[in-house]
Amino acid sequence: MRFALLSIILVIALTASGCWNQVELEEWALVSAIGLDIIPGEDEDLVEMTVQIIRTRHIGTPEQGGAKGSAFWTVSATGRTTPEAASNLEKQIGRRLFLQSARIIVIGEDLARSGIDVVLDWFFREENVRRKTWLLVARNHTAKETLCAPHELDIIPANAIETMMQNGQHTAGIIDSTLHRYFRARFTTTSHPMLVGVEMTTPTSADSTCPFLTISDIAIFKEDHLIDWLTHEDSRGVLWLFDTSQKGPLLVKCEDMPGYATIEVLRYKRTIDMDISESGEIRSIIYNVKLTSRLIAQTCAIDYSNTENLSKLENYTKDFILKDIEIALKTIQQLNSDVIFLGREIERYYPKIWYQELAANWSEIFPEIPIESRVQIDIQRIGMAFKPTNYHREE
Amino acid sequence: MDLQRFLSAYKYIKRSSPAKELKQAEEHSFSIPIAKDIEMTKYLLEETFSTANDFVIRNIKLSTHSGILVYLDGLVNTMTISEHIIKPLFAAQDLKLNEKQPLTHIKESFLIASQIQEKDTYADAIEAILQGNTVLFLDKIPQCLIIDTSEFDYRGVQEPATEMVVRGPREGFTESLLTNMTLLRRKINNPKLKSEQFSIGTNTNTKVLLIYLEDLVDPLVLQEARKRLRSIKIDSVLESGYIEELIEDAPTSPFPTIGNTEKPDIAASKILEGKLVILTDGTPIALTLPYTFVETLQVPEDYYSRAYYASFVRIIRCVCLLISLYLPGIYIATSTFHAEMIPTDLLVTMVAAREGIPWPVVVEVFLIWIIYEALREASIRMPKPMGSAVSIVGALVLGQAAIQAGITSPIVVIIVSTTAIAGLVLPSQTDALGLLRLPFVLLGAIFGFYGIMWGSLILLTHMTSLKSFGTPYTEPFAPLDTIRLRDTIVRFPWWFMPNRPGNLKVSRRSTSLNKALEGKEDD
Repeated sequence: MRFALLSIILVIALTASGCWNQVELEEWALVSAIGLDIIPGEDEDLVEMTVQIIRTRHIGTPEQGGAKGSAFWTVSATGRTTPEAASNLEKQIGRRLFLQSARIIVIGEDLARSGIDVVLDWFFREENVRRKTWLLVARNHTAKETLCAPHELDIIPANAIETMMQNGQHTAGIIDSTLHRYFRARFTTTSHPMLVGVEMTTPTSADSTCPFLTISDIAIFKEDHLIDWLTHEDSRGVLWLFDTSQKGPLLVKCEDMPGYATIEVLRYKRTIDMDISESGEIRSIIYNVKLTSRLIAQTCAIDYSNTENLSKLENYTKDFILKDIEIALKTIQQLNSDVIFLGREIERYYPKIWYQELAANWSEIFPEIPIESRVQIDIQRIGMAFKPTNYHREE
Repeated sequence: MDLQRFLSAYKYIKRSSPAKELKQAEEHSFSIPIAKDIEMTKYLLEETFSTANDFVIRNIKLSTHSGILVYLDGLVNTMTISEHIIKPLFAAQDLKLNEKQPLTHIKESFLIASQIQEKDTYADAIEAILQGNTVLFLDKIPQCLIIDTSEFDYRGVQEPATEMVVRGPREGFTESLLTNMTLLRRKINNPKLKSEQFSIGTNTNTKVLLIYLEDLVDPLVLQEARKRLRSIKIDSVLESGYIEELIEDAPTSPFPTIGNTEKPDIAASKILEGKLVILTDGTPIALTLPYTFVETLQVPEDYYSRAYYASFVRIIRCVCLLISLYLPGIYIATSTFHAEMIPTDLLVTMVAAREGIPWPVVVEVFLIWIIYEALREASIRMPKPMGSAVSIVGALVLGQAAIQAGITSPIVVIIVSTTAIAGLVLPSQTDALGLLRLPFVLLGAIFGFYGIMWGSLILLTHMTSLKSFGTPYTEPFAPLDTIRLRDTIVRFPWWFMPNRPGNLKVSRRSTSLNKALEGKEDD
C-alpha cells in the first residue's frame, strides 16, 4: 500500500516535468549581443534582428582544435515582430538562440527614433533574457553595423562593450542603461528613459583602418522615442541628479593661475528639498548635493596644502558642479523629458498632491518647474605631496 | 549405546551411506561418553581425523596406564607439549598414580600448564583438539584431560591501511580475537568492560565477541543485539561482513546501519559512547552498533586535534559529501536544462568544450565514471609492481587522449575526478553515497533540478525512516538533540561537551521496538 502510494506520487510528480525541454549545450547558439533595426517597408516596417553569436569552436585552446578566425559571427534576419525575426534567425543558424548570454542589446538610431516599445516587449516577457543586459543606442549607424565591428582586445566585441560600460560607471560617468532601467522608466508614467549611445569611429591615423566603438552621448527618450542626444558637457550634470555617485575625475580650472586641478569624488549624497503647496503649485525644488572628495592631480602651481587655497578650490569646484547641473537641468527641461525621475520623487513625498494635481499634466508642468541646486563640497585630502613640483619654479 | 555396536554401524555407514546420514552418525558419536578402551578411542579419533595430515597421536606409557596424547600439529606449540607435558609425564613414569582418579592426579601434580580441564565426551575432546589443545586419554579411564597448548601464527599489530591518521594511535586490530580483545582492554582499563562470547557458523564455529561497557550500554540495545546474534543461522562466518549483513536493521537500504572499524581506539570510543562492538575471530574488522549517519563524517583524528581545525576539516568533509553525491547530477542538470544558471563566460568555455563530442553529456559522464571506477578497482586488485603501468595508462587515457580524441570534454573529466576525490575524502563507510550518485545522475539527466530535488526528498525521507538498533539514523538532527549537535558538523571543544559520553537514550528509541523489547521482558 505504501509502495503503491509512493509510486503514484512519483509517477505524477515526475511526469509533470520531463525531457522535452532538455537541450544539450552544443545545441545552443550563444548570443553575445542582439541588435535591432528598422527596415522601412511598403505596407509595414520590418524589424531586423542581428545577433552576434560566439563561435565557441574558436574560443577553446588550440589543443582542443580552437580554430583560427573570428570568434564571433554576426547574422541578421527580418520579421514583422522581434520573435518572428528571432525564429527566422534560428532557421538561418540551425541552432536555438541562447539569449541569456546576451550582454548588450543595441538599437539602431532609426529604430530608436521611431519607437522601441513594440520591439522590446518580447524582451520584457521572455524569461530567457536577463534584465541586467545593457540596452544601448547605436548613434549614426544601424545596430547591424555596430555589431560587426571587431574589438582589438576582446575577441567578443560585446564583452568589450559590457566591460566598457561597467568600468565607465566607475570612471567615466556612465549612467545605468540596462534593460531593467529602461522598463522602470517606461512603467513610471511620467518618467522617460535615457540610454547610453555607442558610436563607430573611423580612426584618422593611417596605420589603423578598422573602425572601433566608443561610448557616445546619452540618448534622451520621450516615451519610447529617441528625441535628442545629450552631449558629454550636458550629460555630466545629469549624473549629479541621481543618487549614485559620479565617480569620474573632475577637471576644475584653477582660476587664479593657468592649469587644472583634478578632483575625485569619495563620498556623495544627493537629497531633494521640495516645497509644494496643497493646490499642487511647485514653489521650489532644491537638489542638495553633498560630496567629499580628494585632489588627485594638479597642473597649476598653487600650494593646496594651504587651507585658504584649498577652500578657494572648493568654491571653484562648487561653481563648476553647479554650472554642470544647471546646464543639464535646462536641457532636460527644454526637451521636456523627465529622465531624472523627478516626478517619481514627488510622488514619493507628496503622493496625494501628485495624483490629484500633478500626474495628469506633468508634461506641461515639468519644463516650468523652478529647480535649484546647492552644492556642498569638502576636499579632504590632497594626496601624498604638499606643494606641487612646479611650485618654486613659478615663484 | 554400546561403543562396539556403534563402531561397526559407523564403519558400515561410512562405507555405504550418503553424507547426510554419516554426518548424523558423527554428531551422534561425539555426544557419547569416552570409551574405557583406549584402542576404541584411538580408532574413533583416527576415523574422525582420517584425512587430516596434521593429526598426531603420541603413545605414552605410564606405570599403571598406557595413554595417548592427541593434537593437531600446527595449532599447538610443540615445545610446550614436549617440555610441559611429555617431560613431566616421563619423569613420573615410575610413580604410582592415584587409583581412583589418575587423571586428576596427573593434572594436579605433574602437568605444567596453565589451563587444564577434565571432560568426558568425545564432542568436547574433538572441539578442544580443533582449537589447538592437546588431549590426554588414559587406558581404562572414561575421561580425558584437555591441556591448553594452543599457539598459532598471526599477523602482529600493525597500522591499518584503511583508516590512516596523522595524529593518534597507529595500532590496528589483527586477525586474532584474543589480541583484539587485549587491545580493547588496554584502552579501557575497567572491569565493567564485558565481553560475551558467541559461536556462529555451523561449519566454522567462529568465535564472536560482543563487547560493551556495562554502565553505559543501553540494556535494551544489548538485549536486542544478543537476540540477533543468537538467531543467526549460517554455515560459515569468515569475516564480520557476514554478521553485519545478517543482523543489520535495513538490509535493503543502501545505507549501512552498522559501522565498522579496524582501529581499537575507534572501537573503544564507540564503547565509551555506550555502543556495542562485535569482534569476530579471523578478521581485523570490528563492528560497531548502533550506527548513525553522522558517524560517516566523524574521524578519530577529529577528537585528537584541536577543535578549530577539527571543525574546519569536518565542514570540508560535509562539503565533500555533498559534492560526491550531487556534482555529476547537478552538472548534467544545469547543462541540459538550466544553462541560463551558468555564468556566461563559463558557459562559453563549456560549450566550446562540448563542441564535437559525439554523445550527450550523460553518456559522457557515465563513460568517464566507468573508466574511473575500473581504474580504482584495478589499482586495488592488481599486483603492486603493475601500479605504475596502470597509473600511466589511467592518466594518459583519461587526462589526455580521451580529450584530444574528442571522446569527452575536459569539464566532464574535471567533474568526475572532483567527485571521485571528494568521495575519497570521506571515511570508507560511505560506499552507499557512491552508489547514490547514480540515481542523481539519472534524475538530473531526465528531469533536471526538479528530479534532483525529488531524489533528495526521497533520500531524506528514507534516511529519517531508518533506525539502527532503535536509534534513529539521522540522530541528532532528526530528532533534534541540541547537546549532541555539538559533535556533528563542527566539533566543539571537549570542555564544551560536558555531557559526553552521550548515551544513546532509551527515550529516543522507536516506540515499537521499545514495546517489543519490553513485552519480551515481561514474558
